[in-house]
Amino acid sequence: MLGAAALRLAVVPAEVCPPLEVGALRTSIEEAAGWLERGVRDDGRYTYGYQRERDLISRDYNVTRHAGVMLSLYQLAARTGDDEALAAGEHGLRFLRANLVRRGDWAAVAEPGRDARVGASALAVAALVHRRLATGDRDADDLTRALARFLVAQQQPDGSVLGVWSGRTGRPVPGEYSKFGTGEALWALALVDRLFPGEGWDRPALRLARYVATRRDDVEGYVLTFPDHWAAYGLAELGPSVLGEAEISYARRLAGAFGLMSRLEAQSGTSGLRRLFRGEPASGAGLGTIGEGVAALWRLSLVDPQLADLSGDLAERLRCRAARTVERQADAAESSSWPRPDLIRGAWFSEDDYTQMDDQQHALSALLATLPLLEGARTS
Amino acid sequence: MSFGFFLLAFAAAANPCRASLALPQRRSAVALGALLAAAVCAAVAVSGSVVLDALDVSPESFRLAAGLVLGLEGARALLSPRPPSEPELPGLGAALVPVAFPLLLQPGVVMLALAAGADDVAGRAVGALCVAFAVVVLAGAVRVDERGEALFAAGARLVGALEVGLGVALGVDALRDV
Repeated sequence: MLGAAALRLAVVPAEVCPPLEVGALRTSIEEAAGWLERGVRDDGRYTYGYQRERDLISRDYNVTRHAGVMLSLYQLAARTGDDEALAAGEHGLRFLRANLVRRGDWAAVAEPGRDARVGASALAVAALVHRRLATGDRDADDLTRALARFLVAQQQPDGSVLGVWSGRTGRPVPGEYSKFGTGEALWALALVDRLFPGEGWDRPALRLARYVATRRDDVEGYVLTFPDHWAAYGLAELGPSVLGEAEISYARRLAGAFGLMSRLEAQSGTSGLRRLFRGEPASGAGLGTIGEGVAALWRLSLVDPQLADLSGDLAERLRCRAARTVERQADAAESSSWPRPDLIRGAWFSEDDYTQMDDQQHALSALLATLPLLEGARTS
Repeated sequence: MSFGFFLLAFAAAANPCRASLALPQRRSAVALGALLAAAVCAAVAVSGSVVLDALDVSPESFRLAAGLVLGLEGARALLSPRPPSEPELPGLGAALVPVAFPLLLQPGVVMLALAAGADDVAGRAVGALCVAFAVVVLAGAVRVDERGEALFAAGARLVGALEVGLGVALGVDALRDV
């Protein structure tokens, strides 16, 4: 009995997945977007972070996260036609345009005097593709292509993408990879190929996909499969017609990694034995990235027969992830007890009472990606 | 999980070599105890999904726990190949104690049965379990001298090592599953 109790507490605590209705999901999406939209500043930046206990707005900033927030806002605008999200994305685009470095035929996102990082440019590409989907405007097509050309310029003969371009030397920094930039570049190139078919973007995208699927973990030093939600986005965007055995096998490994993370997260809690055995609950960004990865692979499993056997489990994990994400969000009632409710409402706070733009960004994207699942369940 | 895996895993968890060192002499009690244990496991397997649903545990997470239990149980057999002597109920009561419990209804056996039920392969698991218990009954029927007991103890260690390996395999499979 003692053994069974220990097993229950430490190994298999209950996985708590609250019920979730599509209405609550939509409200949560609006609230998350509202936090980002209210944070738009005159210079086109967004509120970076907020510590509610000390009522302190962070002075830090990060252009990669800026591009990520733009992406989520444009994703929302493209999916729902949300004008406020579009307007907030457009403000962010002003800042982005003012922070470009151009060499030859490419452009990269970099603050003045700083090196250019692949992740920022890749997310900018993803954001601009979603902007195009939302508005139909072609005015940023040239910029989209120029940014994508930077990603290709960073690509190495083995398909990998170097993470940094040095402003000092005017060259990519050899041997320096970006933890998330590689997957972000994969998704960006896949998106550009979808937007501009026949322009040859598929070749670097597929080379990068093969590298990620077969060599990235070894080359970049990951002992286990690195749970890269951006790579999952990339595979889903490339689609089943071009994915080979290696990529499908990688997609399965990714699904396993996200499935495990999802189950462990569902076993966690903010207090008591759950807190003791599972540690600090995931941040908004943590909840969101797992959800984004699961959602991308779920979409792929619906169209790729080789992954069809995973779709039921992925859908279950996605629903649970979304429900737990919605449950953890600060609502209007909770925010009213703090000095600045506008910086509380719609956000996800960690145990140290801090929230950062990427908490809302990833959670928003993940919840948005869950909408089709819940809408499908409602109509079926 | 295939029939072959279940067969190996149930046989390793029941550990015929180890169990035979403590089974009562009466063959009828051993056979009846095996039938009882198989019936209990079949009931556990059939109700696997319901039980795990009630506990809010996903089949994948439970398989991880089952792998852990198999690993610990295997390690116990490696370190202690002879089970402690259990008090016997009189007559055919020995079928219940010690044959069915604790010798056959080992934690690993029950966990495997539950995991199989949760994965909707209860029939496959019960079939494999019956074969594994039959092997235990046959091993218990063998009369051995002191040297034979030493051989069985060595066999118990080997089966324990196999159980550790199967527990690791089950756990890794659960870790990689969605």
